[in-house]
Amino acid sequence: MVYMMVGITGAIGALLRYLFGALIPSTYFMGFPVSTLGINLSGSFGLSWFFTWVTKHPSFPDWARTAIATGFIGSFTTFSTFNIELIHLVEKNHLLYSILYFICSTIGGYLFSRLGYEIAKNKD
Amino acid sequence: MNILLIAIGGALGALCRFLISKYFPSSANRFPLGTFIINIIGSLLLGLLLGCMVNEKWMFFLGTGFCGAFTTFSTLQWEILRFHQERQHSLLLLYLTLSYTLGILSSIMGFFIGKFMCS
Repeated sequence: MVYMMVGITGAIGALLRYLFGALIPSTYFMGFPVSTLGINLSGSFGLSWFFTWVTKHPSFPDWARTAIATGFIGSFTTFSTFNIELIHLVEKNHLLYSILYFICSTIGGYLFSRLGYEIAKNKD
Repeated sequence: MNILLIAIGGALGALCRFLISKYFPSSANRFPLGTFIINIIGSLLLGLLLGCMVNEKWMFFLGTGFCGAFTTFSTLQWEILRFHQERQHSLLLLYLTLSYTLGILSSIMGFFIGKFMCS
């Protein structure tokens, strides 16, 4: 049961990530990989919001927790594409963009996951 | 067709990540070996695919689908946040540094291995 659900939600997460990239006319907005950044930041927010929310709702079924967190959000966000895009920016001599992308992802990722946690924690 | 390839690759990627993370359960006072291994291997594999210049179909299946779903950014951020909250600052620094430096290095390495293997 849980394997099937992780498979299905994992597929949905990957498809949504693809659509997100396809919907933004240029995946690289003015040379900046905005879609992956948006995906990773929103996913970081979503995961810590969900994990914090779920600890306050212990009756929430375990399989659904795994399907949403490991399957859907885990598949939606990506680390491998982030690395490739970072290398790509350096390769194209957009050194400033690559540094900016790295900072936005790392510090932004922390801030967004912190925000998700705080919102879920303080809401009753 | 492309959508189907991404969906199947994504499902497989998520399942592989789920299986590996079950072997290495996450805890607030231990190095998250599961997520770490997953992200490094996935970054290496994506670099390999690009170095090999595989065709679009394989890229949708293994690149966007499998590697994209297998590796995860949100779990990394969650684990970092947990380390910060638990005041595990040395673990946090180690995890952060190793993930980002080895992630980039493994992608570069994968790219050159792919170029070498497929040329």
